Amino acid sequence: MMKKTLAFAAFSVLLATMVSTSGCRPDEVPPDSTIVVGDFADSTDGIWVGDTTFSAYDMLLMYEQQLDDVFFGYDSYELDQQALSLMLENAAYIMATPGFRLLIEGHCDERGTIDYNLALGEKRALAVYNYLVNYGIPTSRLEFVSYGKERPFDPAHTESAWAQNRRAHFRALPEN
Amino acid sequence: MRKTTALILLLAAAATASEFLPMTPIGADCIPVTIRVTGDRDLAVDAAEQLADDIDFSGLLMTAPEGDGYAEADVEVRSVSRGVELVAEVTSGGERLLSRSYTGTSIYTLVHAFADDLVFDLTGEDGIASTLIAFVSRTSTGYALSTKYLDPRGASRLMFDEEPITTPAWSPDGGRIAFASFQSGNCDLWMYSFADASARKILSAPGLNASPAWSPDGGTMAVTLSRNGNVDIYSLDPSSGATGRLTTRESIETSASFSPTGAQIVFTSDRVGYPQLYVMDSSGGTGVRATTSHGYCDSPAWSPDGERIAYTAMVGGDFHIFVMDSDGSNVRQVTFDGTLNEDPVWGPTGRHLAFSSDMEGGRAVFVVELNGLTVRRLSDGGESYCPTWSPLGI
Repeated sequence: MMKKTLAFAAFSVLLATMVSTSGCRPDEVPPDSTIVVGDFADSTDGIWVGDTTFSAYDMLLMYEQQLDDVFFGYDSYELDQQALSLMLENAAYIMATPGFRLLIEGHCDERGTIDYNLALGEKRALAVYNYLVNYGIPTSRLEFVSYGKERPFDPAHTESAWAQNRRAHFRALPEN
Repeated sequence: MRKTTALILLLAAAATASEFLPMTPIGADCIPVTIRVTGDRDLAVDAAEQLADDIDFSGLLMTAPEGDGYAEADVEVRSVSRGVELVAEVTSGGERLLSRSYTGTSIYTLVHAFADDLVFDLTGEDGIASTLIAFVSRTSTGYALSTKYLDPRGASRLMFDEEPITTPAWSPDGGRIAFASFQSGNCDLWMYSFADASARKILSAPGLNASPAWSPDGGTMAVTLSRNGNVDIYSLDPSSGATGRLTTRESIETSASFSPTGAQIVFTSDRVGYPQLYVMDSSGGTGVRATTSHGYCDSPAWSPDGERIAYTAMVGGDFHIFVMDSDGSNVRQVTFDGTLNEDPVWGPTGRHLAFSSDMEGGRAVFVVELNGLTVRRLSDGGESYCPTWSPLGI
């Protein structure tokens, strides 16, 4: 977030410079006139405008980054100990952070069939959904979808790719 | 969960230890046919090659060297002002059996039409040379639903989207393909119409709307929905959109396929902790378990004659295509190469299967003729999967 603000500030300065040094296009300048290059204005301290310069999209990305994906065992839709502790943190963050709705995506690895994996992904998304509902997140903030094995995070055909792809992934959606 | 995993491992180990009997060629005698193709040079080369392909893939006829044929097919092909023309005369022992001419725009279409007529006239059975197979392809830009003839012509794209398209099912009347698409963010059921050259969303219940199967008369469908918070099979009237719940267990129930009479449905359920096949009345019910030999089974497809069920099962960590009798006996393994063979579907005459496989790297659609167990690759390049076979007479 910090880096982005700095970059934005630098861009604003650049923009200001360009405006002051080239107020009109060269072809609009009468032939014999002198181009006046203004001095860079004395600066005062900038104003802190807060997060309002962030687009809604950036905010959603930021919410998403706070939510950890939950991984599952092969052909399993059960939240294991590690998944439960991650979900506890996720749920606490969602509860404490209004301003977005949550889409829970259920994903599977390629070792299995398309029909069954669509169902398995749905069960994974549902397991996470039910956890969040039981935690107290209002259902109006929650949606879920199964992608089965149709949209793998890692398309490789390896053990580690498969483990990566057996997950519930979170996407922040704008409020209704 | 730990128990389930252990059980699956145990079953996988058992499956590895016990060898499955390979599918054997049916080996029925094929009628030998000698073909002679003459005419415009390039056309004749293509026509001769395709005709031999069609005959040898029919499972009913076979090409024979000069002098060994029960029948002799003399075929002449040429370009005409409006396209191409194929004139065929078939004789047996000097007696004329068939004399017919075909015109059209593609030589392949004409060859297929003649090959199917030849099969019918010599055996009384329908040929499949003129049928198409639809499938899904995944590229770096998105997902396509395409159709392809059983010849070198490229696939023809019906629908394309950045979001996944999956589980297509060709309607028995040939005019529509039902499929699942994530176009609107949810996994909804869509219907492609060849007449309209467009797809319309037909079911968008909260959650899954996927894995459509047509009843043989096309009047009803079985689909997988999760709108009650659980993954179950529902009936769907494709004209009114009315649905009825067919399975009610807590477990996953999906991947329905109708028996050819429409009276029963074979489906997948993980009620014992891992996916197995079950058979129920098409009006719903709990179902009777049909598979016990494998740890993981899915994607059943009931053969058009009702005698057999093709499916995918995990064997020693890999997925292969199997065919069993519809009572669960006589389990035969069809594929042995690759690590992921799946989604078998029957050709409209029950003499062929199409499936997807990584046996040559990537994922491609393959077809196999069961009389001689001839395997052919249908799709080229990219990832192709989820085949669905057109009905006859398309």
